[in-house]
Amino acid sequence: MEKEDLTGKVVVAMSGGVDSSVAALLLSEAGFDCVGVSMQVWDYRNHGGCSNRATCCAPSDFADARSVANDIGIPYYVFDFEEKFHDKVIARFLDTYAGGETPNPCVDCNNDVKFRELRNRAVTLGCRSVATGHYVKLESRPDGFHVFRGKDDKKDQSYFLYGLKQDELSKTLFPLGELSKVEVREIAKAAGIKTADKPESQDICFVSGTIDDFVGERLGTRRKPGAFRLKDGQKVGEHDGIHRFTVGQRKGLGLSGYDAPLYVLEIDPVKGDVYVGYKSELEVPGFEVRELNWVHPALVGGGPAEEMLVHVQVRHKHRGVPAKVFVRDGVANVSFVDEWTSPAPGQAAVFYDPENRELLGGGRIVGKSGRPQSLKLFEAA
Amino acid sequence: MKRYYLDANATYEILPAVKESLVALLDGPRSFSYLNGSSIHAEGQKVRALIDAARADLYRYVRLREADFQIVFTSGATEGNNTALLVPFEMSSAKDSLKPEYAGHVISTSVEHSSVEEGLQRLERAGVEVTRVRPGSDDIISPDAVLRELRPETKLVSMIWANNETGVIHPIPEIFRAIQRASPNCILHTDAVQALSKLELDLSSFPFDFLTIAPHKFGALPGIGISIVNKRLPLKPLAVGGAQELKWRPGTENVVGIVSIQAALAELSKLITRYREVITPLRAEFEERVLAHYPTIEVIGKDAPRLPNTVMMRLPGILTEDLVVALDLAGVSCSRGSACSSGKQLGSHVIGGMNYPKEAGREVLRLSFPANFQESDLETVLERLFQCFERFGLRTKASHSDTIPASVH
Repeated sequence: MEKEDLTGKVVVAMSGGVDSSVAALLLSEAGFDCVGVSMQVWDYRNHGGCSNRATCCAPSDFADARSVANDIGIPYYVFDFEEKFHDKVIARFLDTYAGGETPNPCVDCNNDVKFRELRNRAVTLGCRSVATGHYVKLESRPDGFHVFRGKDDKKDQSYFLYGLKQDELSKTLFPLGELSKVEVREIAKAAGIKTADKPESQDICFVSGTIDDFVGERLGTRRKPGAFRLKDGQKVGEHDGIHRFTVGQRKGLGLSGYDAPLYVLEIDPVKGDVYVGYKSELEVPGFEVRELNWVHPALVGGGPAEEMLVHVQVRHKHRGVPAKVFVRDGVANVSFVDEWTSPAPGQAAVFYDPENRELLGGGRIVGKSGRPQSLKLFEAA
Repeated sequence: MKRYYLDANATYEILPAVKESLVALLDGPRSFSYLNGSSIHAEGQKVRALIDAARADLYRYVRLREADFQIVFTSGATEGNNTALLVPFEMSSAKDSLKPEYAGHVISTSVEHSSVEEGLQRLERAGVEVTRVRPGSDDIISPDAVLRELRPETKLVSMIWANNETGVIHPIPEIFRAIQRASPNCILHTDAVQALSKLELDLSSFPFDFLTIAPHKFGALPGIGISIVNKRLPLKPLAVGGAQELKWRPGTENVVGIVSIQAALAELSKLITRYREVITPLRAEFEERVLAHYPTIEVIGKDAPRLPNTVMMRLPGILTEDLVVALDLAGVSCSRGSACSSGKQLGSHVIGGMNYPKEAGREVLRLSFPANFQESDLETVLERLFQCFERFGLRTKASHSDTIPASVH
């Protein structure tokens, strides 16, 4: 049998939104042999969710994607990823909340479902590459592949992609990296794509109500109510579950009568205690990051052994602050340089170059020395 | 890239003769502009004549007498199967409740099409007891196994004649004759969708009360079906609202569909002959080649009587959801089982209903050759199939003997 030529064959992940629609259009126009694929990761009909508010995986999203694929003239399929998604994303999402930390399901989904699972499928479909509508720039240079924030700062999604490996990058296409959202919508409109004006998807795709309700309903006996306490242990109130709180959170505590707003400082998942205090008490000199992956070709493998100046981003909507980082025993030690921000355990910390453009790598924020978070603050204090 | 259509059990190509008949119906000097066959006026009478002629052709084809059986045009075999299950219990498809006087027992099989299986589930929710007979080790439903389940209160027996996924043919005439001898009032229904479109059948040789047909399986349009109903039963239809089809199926008849049936019916004997004479040996060659190359593949129901065109393969360890897509991209159209379950990938309940482990339902691939498949295309189909199999890591005979040298044995 002859060896197949797969160079131009690409699986395009299509959600039914405008970004992935335009990604498919651009690749198709550039001469790639595209196969549109939607990933059914969550069946709203089985989970009592309100499909009107669903941000993807609603039957209407697949209908949109199918219609766009048909207009572009590419084949289109829906793949059932529900089991994988449940195991790799939802279970971990709930576990992380149950453990008093704040999960980042989009990172898990990109790492373990979109790029890993979808790539496996791509291979069996005879496709070489996977393309998505992420606003991320990818450059091939002699030393390897480099990932940069997308041109549109407001839409940049590189934060979610720090888990990609070099060999994966060599088989990945991000056609929207050089475009702004406005330009993407214009391209869609000019091409008569029906999703051109479709609203942005928001928040977490599988949660149609509030995250509190979604998690609360599913934790069952793992739900951990407890007390609000000040740093000295004094009880100042009660709450119905630690899953409702994230370190650094101010809103929704329901604690009044203090001369300045109170913030969540620490969460003790064993006792169910949520420690609160003033903003100044949140300040930490730095934090640790585990489960690391380094994207930049010069850092692939171990990351920087010596202290290196970077920008570190600790939330999706965060723009990053200058920091120094070095890696020892598989743990990245991060120290802030002149600004600080409050890192929430469980969330991703993603490193960029000092200009804050190129993605270097990232991992998960843990409490200092990996010990339970509740001990850390008091030792530091 | 030339495409090869191997999904005849899902739907057949609309026959050229059907297209011509439809063009003549809607365009040209003798075309129709009004299609309500119940109207008294001249336009209506012309349409009535069309419907009557098509129905008369059907009676001739199935060799049944109008005095004994009513041929009813429906929206399709799903409606026909639903009706056959629910009407004996005076249930509508819209509700789950059952009047106590209609309670009873139903015998069916574990290998029904979902339009029967889900009807059975609805009956169960309403309190009807359902026994699903499983195929024996020979993959077929035996008359004895059915008789063993028969009770005085068994009201209905509903069994698929030839399975849509595996092609396995069950001995329906024998089973129904045995049931009728033992329990003359028991209502007998068979889903004959696949059997009638691929086999020469003698419907007058055995007793039945409902028989369901889907003419798009032999080249007519989809969206129209045929139910043959025994007039011995004083049964009421599901829908009300008109006297069409002797009140069996109220509603203005789908004349476009009926005309397409008449045209396709005229070709059906030719199709069936070709299945028997050309496709049967072609399938044998196909299976031999596949099994010789890939020893781990298993053909479901290989030794049972089967439709001449159907090959249901089990590829152990391979989730065939993607394989169907890969084959589509390679220009080979096939499916994993019933087309109706292709949206959500749960795997085949039919395989689960046979003597295979549950996971086997997700490891199957169904090829169903159309009667007009060209023998000269077999090589290309095999080549594309093997190329995809290779990509999925299926072990070939060659790789097999690489790891276990022949001299060891």
